[in-house]
Amino acid sequence: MAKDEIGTDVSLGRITGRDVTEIVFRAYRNRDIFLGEMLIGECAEGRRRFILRVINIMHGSEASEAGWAPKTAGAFMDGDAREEEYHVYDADRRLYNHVVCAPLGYLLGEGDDAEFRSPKTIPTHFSRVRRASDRDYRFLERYLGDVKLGSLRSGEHVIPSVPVGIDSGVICQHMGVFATTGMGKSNLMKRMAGAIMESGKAGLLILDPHGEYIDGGKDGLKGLVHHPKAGTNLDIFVTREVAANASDIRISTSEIKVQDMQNLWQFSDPQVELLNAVWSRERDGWLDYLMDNDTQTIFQAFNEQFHEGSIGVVGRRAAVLASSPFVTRDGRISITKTIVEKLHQGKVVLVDLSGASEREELLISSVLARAVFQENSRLFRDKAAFKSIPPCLIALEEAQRVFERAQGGIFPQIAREGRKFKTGLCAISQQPKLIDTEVISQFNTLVILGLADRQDRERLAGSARQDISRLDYEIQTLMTGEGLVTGPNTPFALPLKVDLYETYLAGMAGKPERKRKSADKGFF
Amino acid sequence: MMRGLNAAEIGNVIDQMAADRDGAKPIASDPGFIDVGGTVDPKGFCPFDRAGECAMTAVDGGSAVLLDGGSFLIAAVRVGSASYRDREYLAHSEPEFHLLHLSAGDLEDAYSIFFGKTVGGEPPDSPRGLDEAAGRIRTLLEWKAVENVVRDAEPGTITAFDGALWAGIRGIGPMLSRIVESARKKDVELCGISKRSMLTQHSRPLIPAVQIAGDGALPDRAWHYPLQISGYGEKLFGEVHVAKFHPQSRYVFRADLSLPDGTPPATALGKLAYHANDPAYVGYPYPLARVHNDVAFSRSEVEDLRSLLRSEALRKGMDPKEWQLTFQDFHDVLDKGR
Repeated sequence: MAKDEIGTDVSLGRITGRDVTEIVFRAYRNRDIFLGEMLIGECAEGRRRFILRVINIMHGSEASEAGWAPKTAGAFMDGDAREEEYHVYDADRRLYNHVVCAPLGYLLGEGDDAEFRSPKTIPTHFSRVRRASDRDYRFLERYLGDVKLGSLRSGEHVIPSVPVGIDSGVICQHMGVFATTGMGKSNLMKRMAGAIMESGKAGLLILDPHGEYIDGGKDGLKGLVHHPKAGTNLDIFVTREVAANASDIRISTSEIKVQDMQNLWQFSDPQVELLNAVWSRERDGWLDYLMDNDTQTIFQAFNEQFHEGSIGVVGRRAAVLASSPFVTRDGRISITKTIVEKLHQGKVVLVDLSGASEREELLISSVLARAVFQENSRLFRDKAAFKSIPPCLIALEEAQRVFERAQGGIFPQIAREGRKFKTGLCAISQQPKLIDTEVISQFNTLVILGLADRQDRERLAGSARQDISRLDYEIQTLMTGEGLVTGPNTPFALPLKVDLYETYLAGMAGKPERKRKSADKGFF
Repeated sequence: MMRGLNAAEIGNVIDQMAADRDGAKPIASDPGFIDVGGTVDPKGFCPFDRAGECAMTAVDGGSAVLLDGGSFLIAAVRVGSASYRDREYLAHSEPEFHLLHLSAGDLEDAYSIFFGKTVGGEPPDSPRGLDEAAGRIRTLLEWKAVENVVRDAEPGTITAFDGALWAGIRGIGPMLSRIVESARKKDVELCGISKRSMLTQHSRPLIPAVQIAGDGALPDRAWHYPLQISGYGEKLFGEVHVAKFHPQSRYVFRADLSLPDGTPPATALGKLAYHANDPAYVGYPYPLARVHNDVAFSRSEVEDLRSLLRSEALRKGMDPKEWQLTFQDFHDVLDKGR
């Protein structure tokens, strides 16, 4: 028999039964099997290879007597107390593990021709169970995505020969990255940005409120500037001084919409009416108007329709925005146009917002997201021009802040309409339970790292493209960098070990340059 | 209270039990019981130590009535062995398996064939019924298996079997002599361990009395208590002890020993004790437990065998209805409705 190593055909046990939703097998007690591991249940005569994911492991024994195990443990304990050693005869025969698996599907055929089918039948009686090998994983190649994030993971084992990522073709169908703090969200985003810098198949706008992507933020960590392609494929915009080639962020008042202001403050109904009235009359100059005119002037200009108190509140808030160092009245020095152009060139654009207040951060994020969405919407009408731009992905941290409701604001709008205009969102959050269910259901790709909160997991289980309800305990026990990917093109929730960004960079050193592919060929 | 049970009857039987303990009437001449007489002597208990690594082979048999047609039955008998060196299981041969067709008409012939193949010659008597015939055949096959194991055993191996070194079947004495002699010559210790004993003392079960006395005399020790049994010379082929194989065991057993010259009982019993420390069977030599489980027929095996027999019968032209009527038992109907 082969050695018990990953990728070998070593036998782990035999199937004992259950149904199409759950398969149980008896496993040798001395073979390590881990939660989340992917195994193969091989039907007699090799008719089908069932892919099984371990969802629970229990002790089993051949003893028919109920309570045999506690009784035997009691004998051991009695022996411990007397320093007497007991010996379990025939332990390999009498003791075993019950392994409960969720059938993921089965394979018909071999190699590249292997056809994956969803699990609508069960393996033959007593089918042999073994670890999956490269041969079994080969069918996954067509599902693994071209934006590589890491490697396939089987329980605790990483399968370096099987890369796992997301498909750039569905990147504008939105994605969500969810994890508790410290589980590797930032590393994942850096790895994804690195892959996009390599491929140039998409534009990626990263809105970074914590300033951790430029240089890694901490000693020993690397940032996007360390990527070998950063010189050509990365553009950085900042709200603070940084030791990197970066431009200052400036957005113009004409790019700020009433909606943006509503995202920053709560307004009463009369105040909202006033904002809309100013917008109707002044259009892009609405904010300048509020800043340039005092309460009385506005009061008179609108025929005393609005209370002076309301005008005062709106005016003061407009002044707060105007005082931001990142807001300018001069539309010519706004960076939004530049950013959209960079994205259309298939570049990664990093917007470091760590020098901005939370209001400024949200404001800038909204303005930039809208700029991308509107430009792409505009280009949609010009088929040739639209075809030439790559899909654009906007990555937003702490996404629950803008997705608590499915309506209102540019982000929910992009979530609903963006895919048609090659504008995708990458919502990053550690509290998916705070994101509106309708919004989450728009995220076609989910990358789930460790999530400790049950409500968070339940929210995702209800929205994922594949059934992950059986993986609740696995998600709970994921270690840093371990995750699951579900998407429109994945046959099942793919277990992933995200490459450590620093390791990925080290691996890139000396790697020959690949020819950049042209963006988008078959979007329509 | 259970329907129909008079509460006074419970008291009556307990009173009778207590009266028997104080002085039971002698047992009528039932060949199944051996009354040792005398009293249990607290000074007669001998402590012994567990041996070091050693080899042991255990033999046992199992049987099941598969089909009962009233005037005939079909039974299955399986006899096997389990060998351990130190505490590791050694490869073994497949158990011997027999399907028996025993009918009232040809009972003598069937028994005679098995007797001839195991003991040799003609049996001096015949079983008194189908069930007894099946039981005797199983016993003969078990002894044959012991004989084969002793023949193949390495010197120093202890060979144990389930039961006593006792010629319980008429005419079997020569076979037991052969086995005992062969073991002695090969330096193999032979030991029968009885899970249930028919030993009595003044008509009362002996083993519990010995156990109570032994645990008092030698607490937290393995011990044995030699019994003096006289008057059964033609039937008994070894010395009889009551032994406790593990200090923490809740069970003691009758152990019949036939030992090579110069081997003290403590040596053989120490070897059995070495193998009696599986936590699930503390105090019972594990190889005997293993072989017992190996040869016993599970309910599903019995069902499978019945099914195989039925299929074969139908394939050979038997009418299914005839099969059903031949083996039906209304108890099954009653039991299902309980």
